[in-house]
Order: sequence, then structure tokens, then C-alpha cells
Amino acid sequence: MTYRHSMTMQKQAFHQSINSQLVSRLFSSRIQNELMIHGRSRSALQYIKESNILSEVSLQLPLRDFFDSAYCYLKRNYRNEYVYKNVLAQKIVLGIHSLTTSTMLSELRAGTSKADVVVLNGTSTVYEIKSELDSFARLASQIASYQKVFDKVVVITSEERIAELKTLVPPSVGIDVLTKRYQIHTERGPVSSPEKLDQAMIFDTLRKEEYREILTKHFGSIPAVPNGRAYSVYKRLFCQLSPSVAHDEMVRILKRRTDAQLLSMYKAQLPTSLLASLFLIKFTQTQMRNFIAVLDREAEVALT
Amino acid sequence: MNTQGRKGVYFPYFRGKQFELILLREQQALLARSSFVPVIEPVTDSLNSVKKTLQSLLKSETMVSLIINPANGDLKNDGSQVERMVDEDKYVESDCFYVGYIIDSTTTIDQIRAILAKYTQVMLIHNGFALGRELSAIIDASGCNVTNLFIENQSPRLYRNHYKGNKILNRDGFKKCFLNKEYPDVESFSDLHCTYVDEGLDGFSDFLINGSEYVEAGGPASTVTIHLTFVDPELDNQMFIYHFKSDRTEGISDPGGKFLEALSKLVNVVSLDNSKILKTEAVKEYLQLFEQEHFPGLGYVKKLSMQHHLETLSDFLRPKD
Repeated sequence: MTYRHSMTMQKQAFHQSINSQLVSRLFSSRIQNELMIHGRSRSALQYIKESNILSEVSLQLPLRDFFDSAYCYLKRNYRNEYVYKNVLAQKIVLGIHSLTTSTMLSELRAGTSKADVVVLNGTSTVYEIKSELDSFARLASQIASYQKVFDKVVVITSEERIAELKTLVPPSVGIDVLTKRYQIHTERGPVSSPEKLDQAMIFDTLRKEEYREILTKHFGSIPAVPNGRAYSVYKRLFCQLSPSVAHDEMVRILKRRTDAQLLSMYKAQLPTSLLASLFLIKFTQTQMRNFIAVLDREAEVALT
Repeated sequence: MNTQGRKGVYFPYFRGKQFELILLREQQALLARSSFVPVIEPVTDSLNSVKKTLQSLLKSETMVSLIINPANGDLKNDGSQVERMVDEDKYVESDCFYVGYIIDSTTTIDQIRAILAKYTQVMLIHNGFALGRELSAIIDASGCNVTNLFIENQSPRLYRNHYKGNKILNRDGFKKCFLNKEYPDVESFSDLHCTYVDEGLDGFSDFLINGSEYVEAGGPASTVTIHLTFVDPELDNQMFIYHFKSDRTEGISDPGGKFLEALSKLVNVVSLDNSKILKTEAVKEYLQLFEQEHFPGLGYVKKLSMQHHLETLSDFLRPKD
């Protein structure tokens, strides 16, 4: 082995010693919640130290730049679900559409599945994320559930997996790719399939006050029933709406789960790496203001 | 009321969560009348509700034990604020108050010595501590009034034999299943309420219908289950437990409707002429909920079943003439 060769090996070994999974945990809702509520996060500091990311990024940066740099590392080495969610938040919602007409929800219930990302504008599009770290095992049942609740279904994946994915999903399902250059490329567009919509499944995606409001709008008033039976009575009533009306009402009412004004106010103040948190975390105005203040401090000081 | 010489035989062990604490406040008359001694392990870092519960129990001269070094929940690694509260609020001035202290394999003799020196009425919760002979001698020499509550699967018989008096055994009669749908319809709970005297004990304890394992908060349940205990006079007064389960066991929607499914099974059994379930106030409330088709929430349901357990044991232990 030449001297030069062994140096490269060493360098590689050094690089591999960064624990990507720990780095990715910095972007978990838990850490961001801690920063919003307590203005610091000991567990973040612990992940940073244990992950060895400090061999690439300095804690003397402002916290916002630290997050961006850590995210840059993930983008290159460990594209987990968060990276996909963040790029979707960035390019779809803040790009093409405006926040007053469109929004994004995460972890929305659809039958026995939970939708990774749902984009709501004039209609609904669900994005199922299959990063290079995810398995395709549950895909068929996920798609079947999603088509009963949402207008369009898109699976977003990495370049290497397009071919395999094409053999697995029906033609009505769109395929997006997160390219190596970190762009979203549409391999094929989704086709809406309104005939598959199912009012009962849509009903189960909604919260109590949400379906009550829709029922009041369409039926004038809603019958008073004891709360042990309310669910079944209201569900039966909801199923009298046509599937497309049920869907459109769902879109209208789900948009209210995010606050467009609040999102517009803060989108420019967050580092790119944390844009997804606008949609992934429930926050108050005070919490977001604190969060932004913390992001401007030096990372080490801010977290300790 | 003179509380000297009053001796409790039943020591229900509570993790001090919201509904447990509400139950204790609501049932203080029953607790006092039955000489029950609730043991409270605080599990949340806001102690206001615990404080309120203690004040109200002690005011009505109900005996109570508060654990100052909780092993679960928010205060797991640092119970100092509980100890501070006990000291500041001077609960120890009441005869009814026991300072609860958990001793396990990490506890040192010196730590126990310090507790026995500081307080005059202490309840040691034996949960894996092993030096029985040594500790027993220390207790005898201390002059402190010590009650020994042994967690059964952490306290072997030979270990317990070292202790001379004030021995309470905690047996967890609730056999926890991972999924609610796995519970059998009815099964054995415990017979310790009949046998504790024969076993040389001064009292008995359990975790009611919650099980010994601490759970922060249950996620949404696919199966709604109502647990209800009863004493069977035809089977030597052993205690059994019903698990009334909803018909539907999949998905998380409609907990209210699932509750009514489980409740209708409960009502069927309770309404039988030869039903062995005691018609407690809690059962009457279940019947009323069925009548109104009302779902009060899963926390409330658990509270009602705990209340029923207390009422059932109170009835069983009541001196009969």
C-alpha cells in the first residue's frame, strides 16, 4: 500500500466516524420544540458531540448557520425523511404557490396509514416519501388508503429507486425524484382519481369540530346525540355528501390547521434547513419569536 | 378524632397522575372510614395537585404515605422538590402522614439511616434492596416508626423474614396485556386480602387495576376495555377481574362508540340477578352512563374502575356483625 493510498483510507475512516443518524436527530420535532419552549436544548448538544459532526462544523457559528451546515451534511450523506420534507416545504409551498392559497400538513391520518406530507391548494396532493433509507413494504396499502382520501398521490424517491418504484405503483400515481443535485424532478405526474374517494375515510381524517362544521354548513343544523353515539350518527350523515363535495370540504377545512399569516411572517426569518418546521411543529407567535432569537446566538452558547 | 392505634390493612399504591389524585380527593371519606392508607408516588414535576390532595386527606385525618424519592415519571432522578415540599408544609406534624421512601439495589444503608434519623414515621418501599439483616437491625435501633411495604416480585420471602413488624405485601394482581384485545373476559386477580394474616403480614397492597408498570399516557386504544374487580363468595372470597372489551378491536376512531360496546357487556353482567359484582357507587355511575349513552373519556373510565376497586375492598373488609 502506498503512503498516499493509506492517507485516503484514513481520511475516509475519519469521515465515516460521523454518526449520520445522530446528526439527523438534530432536526427532529423534539429538539425544535425544546428550542421553542425552553430556548435551549441539552439533548441537541449531546447529539452534536456524540455524532462527531464537529469535525466538519463549528459550534462557534450562529445557531442558524450551524443548522444549515449540519443540514448540508445530511443532504450529501444521509437523505432521510426530514430532508425530503424540507425540500418539499421549500420548493412546493414557498415556491410555486403562495402561502395564502396553499399549505402543507404532515402526519395526516388516512385510514390505517399516516400521510407523510399533504399539500393543499385548490385540491389535495399527498406525498409519500420513500427515501433511500425507507422500505417499499407498505407502499401498496398506503396508496390504496391515500386514494380514498386525497385527489392526487405522488411518491417521492431517490434516483436509484425509480425503476423499481415504477413496477410497484399504478399509473395514476405520480413519481417525483429528489435528484443528486437536490432538485425535485417530476418523472411522471399524478392523475386524479375522484372515483376512488371514500366519504367514510375522509370523515376519519377530520377532527370533531371540523366535521361538525361541515355538517352544519350542509344540513343547516346537526342532530343532538349523546356523545357515545355522536361519531356513528355524524359519520352516517357525512356519508350522504357526494365524494367530491366531501373531499373539497375537507381541503377547505384542513387549510385552517395552519395559520397562513403566521407562516408568511416567519418564513423569511428561518434558515433554509428549518423551513419544514413551519409545518411540522405547532407553535405560538411567542415561541417562534424565541426560536428565531435563539437561532441568532452562537450555537454553543444557545444550546447550553 | 384520636388516630393513635388506628391501623390500616389496605395500602392502595397510586402513581400520582391527574385522575388518581382527583379520585383520592373525592373518596377521602371512604378512605378514612375504611382506614385505607393510600401510597402516592408523585410522577409530575408540578406538585400543586399532589399538595392539594395531601392537604385535603390530612385535614380529614385520612392516613397517607407520600413517596419522596419517586422512581418513575418527571421526578425519577431528582425527588428533592418532593422532600422540600414535605419539609416546608410540615406534613409530618400529622400522625396520619407517612414519609414514603423507595429502597432498591442502588440505595445505600447510609441513605436509609439518614431518612430514619430525619423523620419519625416512615414507610420503606422495599423494591429490590437486599441487605435485610442489616437494615432490620438498623430499624430496631432507630426508634423510628417504620412500616415495611414489600413489592412482592422484588422482595423474596427470606428477605422479608428479617423484618419483625409492620409488614405489608404489595401483590400486583393485574396481569397487564400488551394489547387491550388480549385480555381474557374474566380472570383471577388476587387472594391476598384473605390470606395476608396467615402469611404473617399486617396488611396488603396492590396497584389497583393499573398494574405495577408505569405508563406515562396510553396512546389511542384500538380496543376500549373496562376493568372491574369482584370478590367471589363461592370461591373462598378470592378476587377476580372482568375485562369488558369493545366488539371492534381495530383502528383508533370512535372511542366513544367502542366504550358503549364495552359498557353494554358490563351492564349485562351487572344486571344479572346473581351478579357477583358489587353494586358500588361507581357501578351505578356506569349504569347511568349507559342510560345516557355518554362517553366521559378514558381517563375518567379508569378512575371509575379504581373507585369500584376501593369500594369493593372497603365492603369486604368492613367488620360484619
